[in-house]
Amino acid sequence: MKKLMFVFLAVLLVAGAAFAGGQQDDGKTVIGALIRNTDEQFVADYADVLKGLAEEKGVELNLQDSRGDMALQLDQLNTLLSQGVKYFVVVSNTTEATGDIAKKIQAQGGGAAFSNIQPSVEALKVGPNFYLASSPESVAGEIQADILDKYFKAHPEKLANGDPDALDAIFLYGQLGHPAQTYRTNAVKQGLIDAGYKLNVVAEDTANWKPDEAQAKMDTWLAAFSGEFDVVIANNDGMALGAVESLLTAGYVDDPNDPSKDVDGDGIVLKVPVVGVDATQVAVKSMEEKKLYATVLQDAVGQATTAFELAYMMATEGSATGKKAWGLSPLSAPIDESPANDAAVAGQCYLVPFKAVTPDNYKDFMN
Amino acid sequence: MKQLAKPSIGGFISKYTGYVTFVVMVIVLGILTRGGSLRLLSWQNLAIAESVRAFGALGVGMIIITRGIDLSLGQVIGLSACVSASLAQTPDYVSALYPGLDLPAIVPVIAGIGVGVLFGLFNGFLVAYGKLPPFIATLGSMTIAAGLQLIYTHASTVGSLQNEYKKIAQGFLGPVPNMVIYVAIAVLFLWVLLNHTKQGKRIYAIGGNPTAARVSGIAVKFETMKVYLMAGTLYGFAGVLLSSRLGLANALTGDMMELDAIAAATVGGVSHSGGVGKIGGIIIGVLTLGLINFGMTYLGVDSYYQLLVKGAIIISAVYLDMRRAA
Amino acid sequence: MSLDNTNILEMHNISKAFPGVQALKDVSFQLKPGTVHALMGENGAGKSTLMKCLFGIYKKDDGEINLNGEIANFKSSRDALESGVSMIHQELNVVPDQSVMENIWLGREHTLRIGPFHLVNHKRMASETGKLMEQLEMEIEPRGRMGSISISHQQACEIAKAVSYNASVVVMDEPTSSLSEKEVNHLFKIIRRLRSQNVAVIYISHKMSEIFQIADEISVMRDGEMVATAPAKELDEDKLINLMVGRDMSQRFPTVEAIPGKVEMQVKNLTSADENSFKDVSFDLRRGEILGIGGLVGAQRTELVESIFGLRPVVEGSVTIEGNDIGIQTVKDAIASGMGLITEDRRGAGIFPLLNITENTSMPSLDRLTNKAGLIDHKTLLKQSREMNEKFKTKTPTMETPIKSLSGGNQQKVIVARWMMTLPEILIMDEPTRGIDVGAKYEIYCIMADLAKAGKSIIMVSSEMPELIGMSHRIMVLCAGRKTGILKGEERTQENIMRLAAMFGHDDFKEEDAS
Repeated sequence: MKKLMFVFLAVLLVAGAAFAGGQQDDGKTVIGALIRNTDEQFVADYADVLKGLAEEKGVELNLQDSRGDMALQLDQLNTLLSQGVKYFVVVSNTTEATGDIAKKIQAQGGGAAFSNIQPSVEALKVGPNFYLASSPESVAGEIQADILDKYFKAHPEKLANGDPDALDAIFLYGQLGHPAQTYRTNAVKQGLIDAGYKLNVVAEDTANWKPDEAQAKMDTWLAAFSGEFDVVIANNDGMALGAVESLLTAGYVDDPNDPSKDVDGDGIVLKVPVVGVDATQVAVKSMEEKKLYATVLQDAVGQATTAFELAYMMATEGSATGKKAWGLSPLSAPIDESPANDAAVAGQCYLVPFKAVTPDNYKDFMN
Repeated sequence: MKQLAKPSIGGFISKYTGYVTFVVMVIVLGILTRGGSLRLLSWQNLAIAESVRAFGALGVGMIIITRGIDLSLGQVIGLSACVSASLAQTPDYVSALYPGLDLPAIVPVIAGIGVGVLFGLFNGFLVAYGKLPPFIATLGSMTIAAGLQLIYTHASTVGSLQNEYKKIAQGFLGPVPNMVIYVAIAVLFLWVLLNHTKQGKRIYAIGGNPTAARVSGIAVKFETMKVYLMAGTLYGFAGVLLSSRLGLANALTGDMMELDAIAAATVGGVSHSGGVGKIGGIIIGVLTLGLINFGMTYLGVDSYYQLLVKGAIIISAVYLDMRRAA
Repeated sequence: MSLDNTNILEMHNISKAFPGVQALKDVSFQLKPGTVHALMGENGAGKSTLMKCLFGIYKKDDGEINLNGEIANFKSSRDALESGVSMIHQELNVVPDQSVMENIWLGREHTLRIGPFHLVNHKRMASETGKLMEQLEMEIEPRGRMGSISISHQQACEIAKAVSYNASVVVMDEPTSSLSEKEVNHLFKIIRRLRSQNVAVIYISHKMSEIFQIADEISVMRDGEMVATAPAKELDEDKLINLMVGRDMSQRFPTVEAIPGKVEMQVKNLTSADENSFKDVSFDLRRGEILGIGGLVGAQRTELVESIFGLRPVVEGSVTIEGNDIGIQTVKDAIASGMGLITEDRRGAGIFPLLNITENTSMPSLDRLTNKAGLIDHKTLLKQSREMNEKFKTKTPTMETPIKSLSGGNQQKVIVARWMMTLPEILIMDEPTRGIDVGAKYEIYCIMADLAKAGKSIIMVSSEMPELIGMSHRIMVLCAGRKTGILKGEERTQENIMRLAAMFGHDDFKEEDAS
């Protein structure tokens, strides 16, 4: 039994010695980062950018990953606050929690910039030191809808599968209930309807963000709905690529004899377009090979830099109100999306643009 | 562990390893954080953070004592959180699940506990009377609860809860968080149950040797069922506390908590071979893992390494548990 | 067999100490080829430690082991097996879901090489297994599933496995503990066959009668020392017991002074819900009486007493205690009507291994010791548990010691204390002295005699005929689930018990069933 104690102690001492180093520099500016889940590519990129910026500016960054657990995120916030950390970069697990997070930070006289998951209006109203530095998830869905609208306007014959009057779509979702899943899905569906399409959902299911699950799902659907769908819409690139792989394997291409030939001139070798979100390097490579049709870049660098600069200005200058961050100015007038739709807090909103990545411009996104 | 440990320092440490480890960790962390982790605020944070897990660990701890396991814990807590939250939303919230509903706080509390009770009965029935292996039975009910959570919430967040409801978990009695008081009540109740009632002795007997328990006149099936029911009730209340504390719930609430709770019970000395485990040990297990979480967050240890350390500790605890049982 | 035969195995001056205990002191042991050498001693005498040193499971502190004149230091059982030294354990090491031949050739399957692949050659394995079976005159289908054949056949397969390794030394640890009389005879046939093939057998057993049937030589250990080695014909049971316990034990059983009084319990036409179990059994039990129940394996003795106690369902018949039909449904009812059951399988169905003495003693009495508030009256519980264990002289460091660290005999005393604490009138004891060493057996017998004298009624199921005869007022014999007779007074002889026990030749019937 004494061994157990020894293990605990050893682990603690090693961990302590290795990481307590940061604790020594008391004069340093400290910024806390509460990150919802680095399992997701965007969030992981976001965290990496933060770390790089912190190093560059000589800031001590205490970055905590809550692995999708709202309760854990709250605990992490409490711990950092009790330690005297005042300024935060927050990627919350859910919009509904941002109000409480802001209140707790405000009570310590601090401030925060929220990215990725948009904060509630209530959260921004807690005080002037709370900012939106994000491109809301729903915008990714809207851009997907926009890309597809352009595609089908250019190739109306591509709507002929299944119901010829409707846009027959297959959806691959991320983990159900995950904010990115909910917002992206709702926005792309609404966007297509708003663009005048009659949306017919041929099949939809979760593949938990994973390429392999998506591929298996797509294999099944191909067996059941071959020729009955016009498009495959995925919540992220990983799943989109899984679907692409399935379609290629099944020979669901313009020319089965030469699967690398784009016969109908729509920019892809597959019979139907597949779209994702994230613009990962693998996805862009796939676009170069004319497999994946398009994706959406949620700008991790832009969001992370904007949020970091806001937090840094608050920490060093006391306030960031009205100042530029990452070259962006705060909104001067409300737009029609929450929370930037409320005039009272519009001045706290920095909207980082999303970028459509299409066959026309994908080259700009290759590293 | 030697049976005839003489009253020496070594004997004391060996008998109360869990407690000694915890105290040593507190001291070491205190030094590393230059006293920061010893302040009242830190203790309050730690206690609040671990309260919900404590309920889960107490429930699953009792089940493990009977040689069972419960994988449904996290999802049942999550479902209870969603159901209770849905009945506690502010009536003027436009995205409420039941817009305009304005109920006294007791209603969501009872509903949340009810969810736990139902799942406890279901699990207990499958394990005790259906003779399903607990791992499989609760794997099934875990999946069912996860599905119900998604269906019930339409996969969106149930937020904007009434202040009166939020106070249940967020309030303080002097310096003591309400959550701590609930845990204390549960601990006291279960301690009396396990140590001072025939019910409790029977739980140990069933875990120690189910056949011998039957020969001793114990209604093994019925008693097993009761243990799962009790655990379910604890989960139900844990779900209520979780939604009250977070002020929201969604389909991901409680996700994977079963693993934390099982780990805490195991670190706290509950043996998976059955028949062994103490309430105090379970609480120390919860606090130990909590302190590790807390300490590493405080020290700014990268989250990835936190998982590594936690995993190592769970494995060492189980390894030592097996040594003892052998 | 002349004594100047070279020994196949010699162990010289083996010593082994554990913290606080000298488990083996300068033990020497010689084994001649083509002999059966019995190794005897009470539990804890050092037999298993000696064997574990031989097989390299324990590292000996001192001494030397020679096999065929060469120094042998085996690192594991596997190592020993490859040198032709094999052990048949009391608990058989079989893989029930694999075939007989797969079990025998486990880990060294015959293979066929096809290109880069080594495939298992089932045909060859079957024919090799067939040859082994022929050699040992056994009729076991090589492709049959191990789990579907009887224990005795499984054991025979383990012996066949040893033979397949060309074993020159085979150690058998309590090989007959779960065999019927007929199966024992079959085992002895196999052992004699091994002996005729010049294999040496070390035979570890408690059962005197078997020893004198099969052994050529007998070695006796006591307290970690080798106290005697002698040809079997120079010894008898009393001498052997003397050697084992180190004191005169001509009195193996205490005098049962109790005189049976009025009828306490009547069992009428009791029939099991299981068709293959007991049928239509009637008997009565008097106050202060010890009623023995004898019979062979498969006679359904355990099933009968467990049914009376409510552990197994019955379809017909009644149990009356002091004239009241108690209609037992559950164990709780049985306990409430004043019965206690000490099960045959002490480890599996008796003790709660990790719980302490107090908890083990008090478990069935908790109802009685719970107050109106629902709390246990710990003070009374502790007091009564302690008194009970003191009464039966349980040897334990403290009342908080987990029962698993006690010896078999002391565990049994705790179980007796457990049931006496429920204040029973009737105590059912199923094989009360199984796996207990000679000294502790005597103490259990004394407890039984005292309880009878105090007016308690006892039912004792036993497979050991001397025990039945020595301790019971009357002996009821079962055969294939039927009562075949009750013996009292001078009728209680081994011959009479055997005659009643084998009345329906049920053993043959069982053999067919099993294979």
